Amino acid sequence: MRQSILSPASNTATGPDDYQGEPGLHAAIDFVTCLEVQICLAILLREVPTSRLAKLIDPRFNFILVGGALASGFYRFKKPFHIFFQPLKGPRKDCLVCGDSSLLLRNVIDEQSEKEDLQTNFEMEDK
Amino acid sequence: MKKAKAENAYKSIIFLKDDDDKALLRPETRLYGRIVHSTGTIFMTPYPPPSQSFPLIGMVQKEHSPEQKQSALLTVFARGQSFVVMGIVNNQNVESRAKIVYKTASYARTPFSPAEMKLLSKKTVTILGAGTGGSKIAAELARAGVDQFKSCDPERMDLANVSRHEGNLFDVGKPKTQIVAEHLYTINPATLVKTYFEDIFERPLEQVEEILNSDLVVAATDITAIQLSINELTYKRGIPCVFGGCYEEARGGEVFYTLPGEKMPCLACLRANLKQPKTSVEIDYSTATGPDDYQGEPGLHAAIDFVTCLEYSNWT
Repeated sequence: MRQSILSPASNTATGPDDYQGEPGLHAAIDFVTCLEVQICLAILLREVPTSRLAKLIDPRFNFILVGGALASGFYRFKKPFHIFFQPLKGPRKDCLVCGDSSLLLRNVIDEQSEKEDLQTNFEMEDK
Repeated sequence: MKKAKAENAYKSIIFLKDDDDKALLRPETRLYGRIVHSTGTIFMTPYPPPSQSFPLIGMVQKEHSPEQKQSALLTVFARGQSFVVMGIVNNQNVESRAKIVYKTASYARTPFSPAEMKLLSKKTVTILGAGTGGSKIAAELARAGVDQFKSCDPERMDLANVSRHEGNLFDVGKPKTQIVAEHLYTINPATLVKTYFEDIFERPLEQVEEILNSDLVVAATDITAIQLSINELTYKRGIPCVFGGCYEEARGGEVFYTLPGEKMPCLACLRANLKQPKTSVEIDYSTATGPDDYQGEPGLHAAIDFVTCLEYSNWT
């Protein structure tokens, strides 16, 4: 596996050769895409007021970290299969894409929320 | 050629999206599909396939005439309220009443309301990237009832992709977008998939925006610069967008979404400050086998996969 600092948020592969000899990778990636699919469906169903899945969508929690079987101690994950909504403080006021000067928020990680969140895995009702 | 009277060794199935599409079964309509000799099933549908993998095998006619006996195509014609399939299959004369099956019947049990199902069938999703994630997401959304897709990817399937892509060995060398389109056709032949086997970002901006114009964009690419471009284009056009990615060796991943108009950070906000994981070691995973088939609940496949993926990992 090549290493890269250019695209750290994603898989670092730059081509098919990077993936050779990784049996089981499909299941590990599926773990993330399955969650992604349900977010997609929830977004598509937002205009149905009675949709249970659409209630998943909360603009305050739009960043989900999905830890797999080998996530323990990696990045922000504390244990295997550690899944949580990572709290963010909101849009950056100086963002060139979505910036809004009326917002006095920054999108740095809310450290306090992060600490609490990491200790309350799967307790999304508390959001 | 055997001239015996018609044998009913083969059963015929005609797939339609819904009852309204029965109107498609009018004379001169072409029918595409496959004959599965092992089960004696003739599968036909009027929706044109994305490739020759589902060839033209039948034609709807007013009635079966003697001249049509020479035709290589099966003849389908109305007899009362039913449709009858006639022709020669595997050197046998075949005459069978076609069973019409509807896509909606595949949802035997569903957590979605009729309103939700109807809405999903009208949605269009653009998926940028037809690799591991993109092909998977397209398939799952099709299973859940989304009927319109745009699939964009400039790459062809490589042997090394087989271990994780929705395609398989027989797809090596094909454009990944074509593989997605063919796969979705086997899930729901009524699915409309517009494919872009190219780097769409080489097109003029207005054409890129036209391609992105849909109810949802899924950025299934792991190139950060492209993700940021997609973020900007979709945000400014007011299109919701979902970004997914796996960290190294898929030890974990992230899902991020934007809803333009809502007070929430966009991808540019996120990438500006958030510390990212380090890249590091090699990990060899154990082999994994596929789950059993799950039927009948749109959206359930993804939900179950979420669990079965855990199971895979527990077995290792």
